[in-house]
Parts: sequence; structure tokens; C-alpha cells
Amino acid sequence: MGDHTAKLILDVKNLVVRYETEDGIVHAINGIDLQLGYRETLGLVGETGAGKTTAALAMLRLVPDPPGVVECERLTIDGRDILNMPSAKMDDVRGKDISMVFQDPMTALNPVFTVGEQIAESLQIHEHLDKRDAMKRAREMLELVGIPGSRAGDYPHEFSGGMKQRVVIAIALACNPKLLIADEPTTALDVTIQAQVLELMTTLKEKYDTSMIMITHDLGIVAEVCDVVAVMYAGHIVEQGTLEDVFNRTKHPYTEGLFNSLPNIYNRTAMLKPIKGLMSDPTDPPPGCPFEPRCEYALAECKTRNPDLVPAGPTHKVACLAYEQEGFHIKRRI
Amino acid sequence: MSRYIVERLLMLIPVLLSVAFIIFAIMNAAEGDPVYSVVSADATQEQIEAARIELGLDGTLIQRYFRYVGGMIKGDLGTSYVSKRDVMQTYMMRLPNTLKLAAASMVVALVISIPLGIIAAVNQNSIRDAVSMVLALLGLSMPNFWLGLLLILLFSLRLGWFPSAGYEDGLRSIILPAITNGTGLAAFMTRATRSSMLDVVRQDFLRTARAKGVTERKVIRKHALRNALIPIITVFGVQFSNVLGGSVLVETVFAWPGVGRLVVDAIEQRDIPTVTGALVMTTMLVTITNLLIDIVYAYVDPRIKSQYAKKGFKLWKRT
Repeated sequence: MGDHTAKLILDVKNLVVRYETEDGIVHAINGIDLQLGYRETLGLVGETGAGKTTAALAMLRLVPDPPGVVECERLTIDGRDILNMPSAKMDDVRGKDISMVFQDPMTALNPVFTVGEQIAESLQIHEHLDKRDAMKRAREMLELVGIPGSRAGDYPHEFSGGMKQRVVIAIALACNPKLLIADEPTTALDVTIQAQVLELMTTLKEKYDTSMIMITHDLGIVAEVCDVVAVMYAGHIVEQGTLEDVFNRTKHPYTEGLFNSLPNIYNRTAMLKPIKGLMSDPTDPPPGCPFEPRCEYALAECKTRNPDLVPAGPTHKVACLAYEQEGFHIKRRI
Repeated sequence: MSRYIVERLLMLIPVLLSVAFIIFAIMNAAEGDPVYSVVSADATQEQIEAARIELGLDGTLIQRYFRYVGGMIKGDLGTSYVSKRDVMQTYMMRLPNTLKLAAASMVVALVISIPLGIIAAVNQNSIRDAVSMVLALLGLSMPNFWLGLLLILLFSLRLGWFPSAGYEDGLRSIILPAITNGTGLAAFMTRATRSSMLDVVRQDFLRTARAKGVTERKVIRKHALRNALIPIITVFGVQFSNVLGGSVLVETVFAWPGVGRLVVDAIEQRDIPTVTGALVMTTMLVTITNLLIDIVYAYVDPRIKSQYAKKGFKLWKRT
């Protein structure tokens, strides 16, 4: 491992994930690079099916196999080689160094164990606490996420959706992980609860110096919590940079489309401008740029050549052939 | 929870009364006057009437039913026509044998079916799954008297490890009947375990467990199995109820003096009090088993427990 990984909590190089099903091979992730510094928050943005969740699962080595096949040049977390780690050791990393908050709190908790037991389990595994001490810490964790510790003996069905998500967050943070992956943590929640949960996560992240990957399709959330952003489309990263880069100096037509499909608060009567069409079939990806069929700037060459992610500024990268033309710029609505 | 149990126990009373009545009515509808099976062929009319009163066969069906229920409450199930012994006593002599065989068979069934079902589900569509399912099918389609005979041939006659019949040899004599009975039961339970586990292994909460570092073994044994238990317990309950009624074929093959033989012999001999008594007792045991199963549900799944606590029986609530 080179020197550059030492300063990174996460270093992923050329990650490829495909699902080999009976109906064909699903190309979920087609070679992505991700790097994240300590205490930074990365926003992984893209529409459903872009490969965001699969990318997260691959980092935890939890892609179901079969049918999943993961290939990667480098995958390190906190300088440790995750890729070649024996599975028994992987159990020590999961929940301790890296943990995950899942999208749907309704199904993420085991219905037959109390929430206290579910939080305590992770402390018993990683901190080797006995049951009583672990339960005591579990009650403290509940208090930390804003649930009275006395409810540790209750079962998931006795909690509301927002409270369940707080429990899931408590489980993920119980052993103070170095990297927290939050997979659309607020998508299944009420709008009013969303803000609360988000604020809770950012406060706890600050408090414990945790690095975070926020997977979302909500650009508002990205603006609020992220330092760096990677925009994913059809298993590729199409634009990457600091929050400033991606939000204020948008380069990729797909990113532009994402912004344009947001409601405009200054002109409430304006129609939403969705991106036309659907994402290409992942079992049969087009030979050229995957966004070409939906792209209004598409050139003839885009049909045959898939662009590389190339620098577009000191911290900014974009994968779009149109920039090879002199003076090309997108006409993003601000 | 305790209120629920009390309510369920009270529900036992009408169930037992109606079962007793149904059995009573069916026995009454059977052809022929049972008196003639008791008195000698050349008995006079007076002797016949005397015997009728002595046997308690006088009066209408309803009158006899209430007389029977009156005895039932005191634990008196009448006297056998054939052996002239107290039915309750005879039944109670046989019951421990049936309970032993039932328990041993269920242990055999559980030991085979739970691991087999889990292996099949976790490795769905693999060779292990196929082998497990073939074994289950084999257990299901093999007549158990035949399996019993094969086991006797090998383990009793050839190897001499276990006695071929009887129950006097303690644990050694129960092993072959339990295996014979248990394999058939295991087949059903393997299938129940497999399908129930298949539902659970794709659930999101297992991913949560894996993500917090729980080992794969523990994910399956602790997190998944506990959630898959409800349907397995249901099948377990049904099968346990069945074996409580006695397993006639297995009892016959191994000369095992259980309740099943008692009832079948009594039917052949038109021994109505024994048949009625044994059936009433079996009904009671089955109902109690069902109650126990329902209580176990509550301890396995907290959602069911809170349901029990919330709503009583409608019949009960109106008052």
C-alpha cells in the first residue's frame, strides 16, 4: 500500500461488481474509484439502480455471493486491506471499523429481539462486554439518539419508524466506528422526522470524529452534510469533486439534470424538468457513454466511446466527451 | 398473558363437553345393541334388562350423556365391557407409554429436521438442498411399519443391539420405535423448516446483523432461526397431537402397549366405554397441547405476545 492510503479512511480503486443471474449478467458497478479522508463526509448521489447501495455493500464485503461477484484493485479502510482479509477477520471489522445504517428501518431490525439486545450484541462482539454491561451501554446509546433508556427492553414493533431509524443509528454507532455508511437513512421517513434524524447523525458524527458516506438521491441532504460528492450513473462515477465543485461548477449533463429536476423555490409555478427516459438496462449496457440516450448534448462519438473520469479542476473530475470540444458548457438553470 | 391462559383453560370445558357428546352420539348410532355383546346368547328378557341397567344403557341418549358427564367430572369414565376394569385406570396405564414414545419420536424428528431444513434453505438449489429434499421425500413416502420391520431385521435380529419388541428394556427398547415414528414426522418438519427459513434468510434484518459483525453461523442460528420458528412450531404441535392419539402401526410392529392399540382393540371388541373414554382423554390432551403451543408462540415472537395481551376472546369481552 502506498503512502497515500495512510491519510485516507477509505481508498477504493477500480471496484467492479456484477450479479451473475440466470437471466444474464447485471453490471451493477463498472469500475469506480473512491477516496475519503478522515472526518470527511462523502455524498454518493444518483437515482435508483445506479449502484450506490451495491458499492456500500462491497465496502463491507456483504454483496451476496452467489450471485454477486466483486473485483477490485484496492480496497482499504483505515489503511487495512479489506479485499484480501479472511472472512473470520472481516467479522471483527464490520460493526467496529465500518458500520452501516440501512434504508428501511421497518425491516432493518430483528422483530424477535429487544432493541436493547440488538444494540448490546455489537458491544458484546467487539468490546467483549458481558451481557449486563453491554445492556447498560445500550441504554446509554439509546439516550444518545434521543430515546429514553428505559425502553431498551421494548421490541421493534413498539416503536415508530423514526424511532426505529434512531435505533438502527444507535446500533451502527455503538462501537464508535471510524467509517459510517448511511444508505438513504431518511428516505423511508416522514419529512418532519427526516430533518431530526439527519441532524442527529451529523451531530454524532462531529462528536465522535467519524467519517461518513451519505448515500442519497436528495441533493438537499448532500448540500447540508457533505464535504465531497460523487455522482453515480449506471455503475459509473460521472462527476466527482468538492461540494462547491459539483453544486456551483456543475459539469456533467446528468448532474445538471438532477438539479433541474428539483422544485424551484424562487419560481413555484415553474414545471419540474425531469430527465427524460430511463437508465440503460444493466444486463445490456450500451458500448458508449451510458447517459448518451438521455443526454441533450450527446455527440455522435458518445454512442461508441465511454468517457474516462478526467480532471476538470484541482479537485474536480468529470466523465463527459463533450468537454473535449473547446468552449463547451452546460446551460444549468440556477 | 396469565389471563389469556385462564381464558383458554375455561374454553376447554365446552370443547370437552361437545367432543364427549359427539363421540357418544356416534357410538349410539353404531349398529346393534351393545347389551348382546355382554349377556350370554340364551339370556332371558329379564336378564337382558337387568344387564342393560347394570351397564348404564337404560334411558334416552341425553340421559345417558349427562350420567356420563357426571362421572367424567369425578374422573370416572365407566367400566370396560370386556375386561370389566375401570377405563380411566386402563387408559392411565397405557398413557405413559404413549407419552414416552411421542416424546422420543418428536426428539428424533427435531434432531433430523431442523438441521436438514436449515441446510436446505441456506444452500437453496444446491446439491445439499436436493439431497435434503430427497431424504425428506423418502421419509414421507416410506410406510413406517415397513421401516420398522427393516430396522428390526438389522438392529435386533442381525446385530442384536436393541430388543425387537416390548417396553421393559427402558431406553434401549424405545429407540427403534422412536426412529420409525420420528423419520415420518421429520419429513414434514424438514419441509416446514426449509420453507420457513427460505422466507427469513432474505430479510433485511439479517444484513443488519452481518453488518454489525455477527458471524454467519450466528446469523443463521440466532437471528434467522428464531424468526423461522413459528411455522415450525405449528407443524410440531399438529404432529405431536397426532402421536398423542397413539401410533397404531408402530405400536403393533414393536408390541408397544400404547393408547393406539387400546382404542383399536376396543373398537374391534365393541368395548364402547373404553373407546369413548380413550377418545375423550385424547381430546383433552390434544387441546392442552394446542394451548401449550400457543403459549410457546408468545415466548418465541413478542408480537404475538402483545396481541394476546391486547385482546381477549370476544365472547368474554361482552360481559
